[in-house]
Amino acid sequence: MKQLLFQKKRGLAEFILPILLFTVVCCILLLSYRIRVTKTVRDYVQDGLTASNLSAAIADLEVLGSTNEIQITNYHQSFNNFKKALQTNLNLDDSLKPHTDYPITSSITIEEFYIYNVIDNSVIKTIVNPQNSVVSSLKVGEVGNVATPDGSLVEGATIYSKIGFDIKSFGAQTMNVKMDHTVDISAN
Amino acid sequence: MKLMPILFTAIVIMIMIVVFISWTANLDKKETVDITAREYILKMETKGYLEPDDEQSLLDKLNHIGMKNVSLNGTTMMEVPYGDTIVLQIQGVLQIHNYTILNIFKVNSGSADVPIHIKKVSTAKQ
Repeated sequence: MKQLLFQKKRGLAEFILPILLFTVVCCILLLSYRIRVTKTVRDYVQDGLTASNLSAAIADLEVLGSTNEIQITNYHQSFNNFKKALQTNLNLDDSLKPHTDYPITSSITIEEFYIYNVIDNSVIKTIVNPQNSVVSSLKVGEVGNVATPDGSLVEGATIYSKIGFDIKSFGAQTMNVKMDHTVDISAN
Repeated sequence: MKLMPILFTAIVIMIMIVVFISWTANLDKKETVDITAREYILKMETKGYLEPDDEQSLLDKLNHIGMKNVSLNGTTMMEVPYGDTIVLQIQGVLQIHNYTILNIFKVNSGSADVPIHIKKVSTAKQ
């Protein structure tokens, strides 16, 4: 009786061990796949966002010629350049929706778009409302003590933008992701 | 005979790992093309267009990565003024490794051509 039980246990182990091994390998590969896809999407969007911020950073040549200061004064042109570049660099349609629904599953929303100028050591922050392009400017401090929301210190004409979008998570679930970036054109 | 389930599982796992490594390598290739495009749009920003020397080195790099029939049609090839839009457009086919599972003991390995279209836009800063 004891011997029969022992044989049964051995027979079971011959099947349980491969199933366990297979499950573990599947989990590792699935996790590696998700990590890799997430990294690829992050790099792709970050690249597109950086290039779009650079595209928006257009210094006013008249101001540069007369005062030797780099300033961004055409706020609407900057925002339009940013939007157009984002559309092309991330392969989006006119409503900022990707042409394919994988891995980004929703339209990209521009959540924040700020332009910082330094005039006589004062930092002027201009907020461009992404929905209606309404512009409002205010002095936010002196050079050296003002930072953009991602923590970059403002030392010259700077552009900060933040976007949000949904990506596919495990199964049918989606996850909302935010990404932001700062470009200082006086440093470029 | 008792080792059959283990052997069978080992073969399946090995196939899965090979296919995964191959997929990762193909993704790396595509990413390298993207990184190269970004490098050249930044060069173009500082010059206002794609210089003939840069064009040649871009084509060489893309060929080295494994791209064929590369076309740069639509790319800004003439210098534009400060603040104007510049475009880098790369079209071609990328050769990747392809695995087809015929049955549990037979996997066919070959190569396939994947069409690539990359368009990057920025503004001239020269």
